[in-house]
Amino acid sequence: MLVTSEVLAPGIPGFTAADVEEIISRQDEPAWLAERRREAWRLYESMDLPDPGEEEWRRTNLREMTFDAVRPVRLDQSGGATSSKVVVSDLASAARERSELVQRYLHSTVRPDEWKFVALNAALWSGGRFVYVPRGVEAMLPLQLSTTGLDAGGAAFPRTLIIAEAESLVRIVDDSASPGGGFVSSVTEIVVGDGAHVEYYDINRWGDGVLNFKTVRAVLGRDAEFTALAAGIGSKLTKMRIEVEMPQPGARTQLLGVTFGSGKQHFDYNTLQNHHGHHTISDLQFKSALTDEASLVWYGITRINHGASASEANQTSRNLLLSDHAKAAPIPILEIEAYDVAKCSHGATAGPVEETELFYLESRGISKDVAEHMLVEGFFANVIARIPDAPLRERVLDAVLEKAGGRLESITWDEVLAS
Amino acid sequence: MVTKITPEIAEKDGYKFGFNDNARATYKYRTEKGLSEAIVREISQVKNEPQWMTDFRVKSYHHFLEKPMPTGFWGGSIQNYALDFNDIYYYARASDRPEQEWSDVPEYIKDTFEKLGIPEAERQSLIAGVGAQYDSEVVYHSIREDLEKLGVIFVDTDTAVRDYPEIVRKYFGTIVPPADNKFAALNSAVWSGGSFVYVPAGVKVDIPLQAYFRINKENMGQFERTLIVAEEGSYVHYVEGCTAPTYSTDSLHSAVVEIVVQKGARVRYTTIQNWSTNVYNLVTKRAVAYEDAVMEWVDGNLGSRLTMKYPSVYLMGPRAHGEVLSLAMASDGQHQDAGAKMVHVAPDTTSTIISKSVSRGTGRTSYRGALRVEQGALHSKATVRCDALLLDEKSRSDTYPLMEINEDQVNIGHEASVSKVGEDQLFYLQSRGITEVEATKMIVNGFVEPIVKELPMEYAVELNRLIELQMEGAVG
Repeated sequence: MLVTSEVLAPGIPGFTAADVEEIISRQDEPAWLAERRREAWRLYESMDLPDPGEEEWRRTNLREMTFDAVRPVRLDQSGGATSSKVVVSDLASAARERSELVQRYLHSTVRPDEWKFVALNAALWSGGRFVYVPRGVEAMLPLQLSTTGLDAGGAAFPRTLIIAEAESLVRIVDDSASPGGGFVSSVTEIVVGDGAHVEYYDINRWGDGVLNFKTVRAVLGRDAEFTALAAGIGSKLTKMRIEVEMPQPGARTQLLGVTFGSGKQHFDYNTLQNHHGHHTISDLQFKSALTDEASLVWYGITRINHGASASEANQTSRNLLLSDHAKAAPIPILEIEAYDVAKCSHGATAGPVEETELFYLESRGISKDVAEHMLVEGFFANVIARIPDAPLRERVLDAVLEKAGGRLESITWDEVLAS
Repeated sequence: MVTKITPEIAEKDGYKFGFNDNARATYKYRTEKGLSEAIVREISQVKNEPQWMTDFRVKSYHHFLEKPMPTGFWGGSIQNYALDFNDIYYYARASDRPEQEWSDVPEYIKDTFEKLGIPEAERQSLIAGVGAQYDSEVVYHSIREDLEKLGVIFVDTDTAVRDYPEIVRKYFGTIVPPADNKFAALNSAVWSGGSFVYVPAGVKVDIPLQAYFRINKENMGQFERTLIVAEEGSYVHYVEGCTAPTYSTDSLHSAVVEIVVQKGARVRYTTIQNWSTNVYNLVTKRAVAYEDAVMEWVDGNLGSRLTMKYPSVYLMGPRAHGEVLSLAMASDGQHQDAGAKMVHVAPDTTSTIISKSVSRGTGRTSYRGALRVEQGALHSKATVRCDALLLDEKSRSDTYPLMEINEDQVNIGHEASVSKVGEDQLFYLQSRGITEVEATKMIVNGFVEPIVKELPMEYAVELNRLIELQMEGAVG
């Protein structure tokens, strides 16, 4: 059933408190979790949609959008552990079987009261994914989480909790795909222990009618390392928040983004590199290529707080505008309170492919289309090159370039890198 | 602001313009404290204004009431302060009309400006014309005779409303409409003084016109209104300086500056803002530049408690160029929230924003900027460069640059960096026998040099001196 709601609707039509109770009983949930869901539902009902007067919501105004009535769908969420020492299960059973651990960390990095759709996720997630990497365990092979099963008229609330204990290592690929429309509000919480190393690759291949809201937040321990990559390919609208908290000394963060927008797609990313610990380092590299009437917003904050002495931070946003009607709004924000900051910089650019580069390639007998394609491929190369796992690198590049009409057969990845 | 340092100038916290002349100041006219429609009408009546201006003021006053205090991105700073609109005098006049002979200016005002070095600069022919505003009204205005003969107009804005109504009416309130923001609406309702500059086609004013703004009274609001019209192919450089006495209560300075740069003309507008640290400085400055025109803002902010000021250029004609050089220095308790806005509307337009900021003690500097490229502004180029220097552990620096690019055939870049005074630089200089204090000053001077070198010589000297004054006690 599709019903269009009013503008300024209090929420997404189609959900009731009964949905919450249904999930609680279906998943046979412990009392603490049931209570948290009910509280999250109350928050959802009481909260307004974000105020477009706030800068980070100004370019994606939810109050002007209409939301179709949807029904909660049960997703196909699969996850395969590549090491027997790593625990991968659905979050619902983890909440029963490892109740203490889940109770401690669920909602510890993404609180339900952050904003309305995060509250909705906390109230209505079902299934969910739980990844637990015990102390010292190294899982080098990428662990695959995939989400499918959403169709038009459906609403999905993927929830993932990743706990990497001290000195552990894990690579996680979170791949979402669907054929059509629907509503998604995802939350991924990541706890990175002291000296642990976590890589989280989000591949957004949602169908071209999907409204995709996602919050990813990682909290890093001492000397921990964290990499997140957001590959923006699918969806009609993506509003994604990727935040890293570095309360302890010596933590390092890489935030990577590759987005290819076409049609009327709108991507809106909010990032936060929050430095509290001394000697913390963060680097953000976000790149987008936009064609047709696609638009992209990147609103990124780097905050160096008191005490984060000798820290280093960078933000780079590069945007390639491939058509007259593509739009980009890269907004890099620095808030520096620490005097003893080692280095802090940001840069943002937007423009078409370089005329001189195009001219050079054309002068070598390459047609304009192919030349432009090569330049787009090369444009993403230095971000994708930061993915250490070779097959994964290929996969991300393939997924992104599929939008540009596929990879160029004649060029290998090594050649792109060499150029 | 060619200031002579005289021993009788009271120095407080390194601010040497903090003296007042209340003992001798007598106001010919002053409105009651606070603001109402009656006061707005009273100001217009006292000024004997035409009906259209009275209507403009009253309409603006209602905009002021309706507009919320700025919040969100552009109002991020004002929320932290308790600014009481009812605790301010909106109009106070010490003389009946702007004098053209320095000797006719009341003695105590003359003394004030003598201390600030204004007539000295004129005597030395360093400037082409000078205006001096004391609280609400301009007390002195003059322009070199040869320029006057060429048709250059440089008068206070009140006089312009009376004597040049056709030019004023054509442009007044068109670049910064009263409903633009709460403070622009406030200025439009209670404005008084400011400069009106008109440069006829083809006339190039070779040395700067200068205006000097002084708030004397406690709890005073100064709302000058400046309009500059540069006709085709003309050139003018307008320089303003601002100071106020140091009081324990707050004053408000909320100016509106509108500039029209016609085809092929060039306007440079230089500000050295050195209000005492009890002044809120909330200013709207905007220019439109037509075909092949050049608009340059050189904006130095050293004083005030809170400054919120983002000079902007709308690039309306092909090949127009806009430039903002912004220098901010914040010491203990100060927040310089400064920046720039560039809007590319026409093709082949170019813009440059360079911002340098220095924070010391608990001072906070923020660069807040917007760069917008509208569809159709083909082959536009824009660069933004922000550098910040932190001198103390408690200092803070932020960079908030908005960019909105709605056109693909453009070239846009933004870069920023934040650093502290390098220990290696300090060590090197100290190893050459330079004290830490001197070394830090040298590093700061080097850091701001790209802006300072754009200033007229005597301003550059003055600015360097002001920076040194702010740096006193900064280190060591």
